[in-house]
Amino acid sequence: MSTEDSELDERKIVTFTLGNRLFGIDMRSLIEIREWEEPTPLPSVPPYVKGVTNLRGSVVPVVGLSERLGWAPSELHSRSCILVVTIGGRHAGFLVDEVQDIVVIQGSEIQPAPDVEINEQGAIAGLVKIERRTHDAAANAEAMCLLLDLDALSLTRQVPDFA
Amino acid sequence: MSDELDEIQGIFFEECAEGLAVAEQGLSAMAEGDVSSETIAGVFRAVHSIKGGSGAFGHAALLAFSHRFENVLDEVRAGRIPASGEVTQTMLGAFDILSDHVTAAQGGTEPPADAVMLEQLDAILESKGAASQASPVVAAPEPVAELDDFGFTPVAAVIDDFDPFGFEPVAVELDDFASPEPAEPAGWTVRFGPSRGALANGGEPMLVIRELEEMGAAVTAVDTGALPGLRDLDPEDSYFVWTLTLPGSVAEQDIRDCFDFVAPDSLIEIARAAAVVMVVVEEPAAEDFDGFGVFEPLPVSLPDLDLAPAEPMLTLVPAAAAPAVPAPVVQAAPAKAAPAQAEKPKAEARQGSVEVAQSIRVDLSKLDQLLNLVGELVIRGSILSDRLSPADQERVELPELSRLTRQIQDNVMSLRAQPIKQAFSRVPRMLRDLSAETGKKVVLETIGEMTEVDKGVIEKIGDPLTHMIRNAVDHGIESAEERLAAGKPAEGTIHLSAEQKGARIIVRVRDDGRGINRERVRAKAIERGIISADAPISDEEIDGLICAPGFSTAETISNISGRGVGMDVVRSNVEALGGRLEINSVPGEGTTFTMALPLTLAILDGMIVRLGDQRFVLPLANVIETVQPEPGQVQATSPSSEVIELRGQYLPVRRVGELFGMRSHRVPEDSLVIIVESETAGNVGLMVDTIDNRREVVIKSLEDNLHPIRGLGGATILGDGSIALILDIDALVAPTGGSSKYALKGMAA
Repeated sequence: MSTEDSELDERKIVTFTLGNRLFGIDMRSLIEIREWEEPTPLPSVPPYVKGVTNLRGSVVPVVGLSERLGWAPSELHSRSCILVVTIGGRHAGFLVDEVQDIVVIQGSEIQPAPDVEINEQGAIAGLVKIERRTHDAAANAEAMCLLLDLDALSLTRQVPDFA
Repeated sequence: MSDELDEIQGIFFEECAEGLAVAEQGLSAMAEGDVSSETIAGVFRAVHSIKGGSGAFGHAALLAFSHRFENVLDEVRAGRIPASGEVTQTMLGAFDILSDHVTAAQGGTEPPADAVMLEQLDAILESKGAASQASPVVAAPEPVAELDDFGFTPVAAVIDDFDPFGFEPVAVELDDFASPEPAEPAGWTVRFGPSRGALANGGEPMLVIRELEEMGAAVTAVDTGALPGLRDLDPEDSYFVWTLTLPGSVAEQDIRDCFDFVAPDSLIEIARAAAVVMVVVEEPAAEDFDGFGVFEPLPVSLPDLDLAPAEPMLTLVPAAAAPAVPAPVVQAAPAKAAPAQAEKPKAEARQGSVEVAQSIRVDLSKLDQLLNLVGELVIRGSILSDRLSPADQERVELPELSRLTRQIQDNVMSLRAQPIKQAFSRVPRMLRDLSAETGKKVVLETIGEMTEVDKGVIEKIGDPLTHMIRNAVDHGIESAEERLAAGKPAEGTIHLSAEQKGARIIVRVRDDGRGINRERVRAKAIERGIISADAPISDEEIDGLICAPGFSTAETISNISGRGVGMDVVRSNVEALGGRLEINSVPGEGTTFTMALPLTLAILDGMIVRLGDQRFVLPLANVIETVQPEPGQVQATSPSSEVIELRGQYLPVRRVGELFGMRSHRVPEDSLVIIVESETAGNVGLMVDTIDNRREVVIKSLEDNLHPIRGLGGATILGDGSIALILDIDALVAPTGGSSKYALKGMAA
């Protein structure tokens, strides 16, 4: 704990892909990664809310993260999975294309996000360069990873009041 | 360490809240003419324990005020001050200040201004004190501590103190004794002589004795032998040695605990009365009051006494054999006084005649956890049932198991149910404040306050209730002159009622004021841009506008309401609970706010229906009947609306799939129509594909992780682990645009 938080300003992030882009979220927000399973659809919600699913007895919304960020919806395939995260005490599942890795980064390496092509300010907390592992170790290359600000993606904040 | 202290402090404030509620109920009862000794004693005890705790936690202002308040109460309790209307009113005022003190102590804020109230309290004390000067006995409720208040009290005052100690019921005890009581250990005899310096060190013997009394102790003798002549008397010294008897059922440790904070060199002797041979045998109890003889220390003393707490009852046989011996009386009495009842007045406890509900304090989160677990148990139970073959499902064990599970569930639910009184109890005080602020006289009538509701609901209706009452007084009730001119009684009336109706609790706040001024509301709404000037709008819709965000018609922003947040908060709170708010107003006659709230937030009796491959839960409380329509029974009246003919009546029919915009859903030929009852649109038919079964479902809120969705009351997890959405019939079938509630939604958005 202490080494992670204070000593070296280290952070663990989980990286995943949406299309050909690489994203990262703080490891501490992650609850579990589960296989894609069609959620129960909900009425009167924006299209990016795919529905709700049963997470060990509680009802958790499943969000198409790609649509949520303003890109085309992810196509479902065998490696599609749901990242279950906690945002301000609430749980949500994000549909992502493929989970990649767990990477340790230094807080100082994070660069503030310039204007990115996202329909909403603040969803990208910063950019960081990481080494992207491939199947061929020799071909490992550096890649840009977009760090997501989960709070900005909070469903309750963004969804207009349909109630 | 400090965490621990905070925790204890937290318990103290919890107890304060309970004490305040008890005190308020008692005082209200007194204001209504119930001046029985139990009522007064109840109020006294409540204030007393607040005082006790406040001293321990160093809330000086609270301590000082509660002490003065308690003094008056003590006099009233002892009958030296009559509980007249005037006195009661003052005490109600004092109660309000006391609540403010508690709040201030809790929030660490500035204590309220209590000087005026203290003067009033003192005035009561003084006027009666003067009167009692004439009588032979001067009343000193706390013989030692109060000495300086009353000057050098004659010794006779001490005798009089036996009265508050409750010695009269001796005769009753004899009766009790005559009836066979269950065996119990011998009573305790406690001798307590505070050291001479005890008072200087802040050790107030009265508090110790009170604490013992709360466990059922009675003072049998006071040794005043050490009392010097008046000339040499130092009022700050302690001269007395008290002898008390306690019922044998009290644990020795509990007695010892009372002496925890007593100066170390004080005389403390605790012993079980070993035999029937007590001093009282020689001096029958009734004589105790006659003279000074009683002040002899008990000769029983120590050789006979047995300190072992587990010592079995030695005296029962001889005692029973000789019922005329008064001695064991004291100990035989509180056989029914279980520890939980220890706080009851000893008179009650002794007679054992008052049925008291025993209670324990449980953290609400533990109950919630239990409820969740039971909910899971129910789900697992149905999974099991689903997996068994039909033959096995018929076996006797399974229905038995599910019956038991249901019973457990019901019981756990009932643990969380509380009378709605808890939410109503803060209203009287509020009305007094409002009356004082506005100068309007308002009478409160409550009906159905014992209606039981889930604790979670009670907690959440407090704020809406407050706003509705404020609104009623501020905007509804007219001034006395206006009322008289309109031919109404000068005093306004607010009816507060609660009733259970199916799976809902209906809470109403009705005033007999001027009603909603629709012209003004409309003008204001246009001015605020909430509606457009030419919008056609019905009376009901105008009434609904007062719940629009940012709406307020008060000309000046008053202290009470008029900030334009009140009714908006009411509506959103009620809706967040899955309830509905209705407003009915008749100009000149008054306004009624009706909250329809779910009885429980956790479990629902539902009908599982199917639409395509999705399942939904229909609350059974709404379902009237199910119809398999004949060809032609359902007919379209417009491209988007249909009716069903049912026994000569036409009811509107909605297709659930369409309501939810399920585009892909294809309506099968043999759809069923379920007739449901709604508050918003009367009886309506809902078209679904099939009905699966009926079952109790555990409501999982959507708000926990998402937000409320109109038309849904939540979701549930079915036996196979999949999710079914629970339909909120009232919101679902509400005629779009017709209802003020939803018209308003659109406007407010």
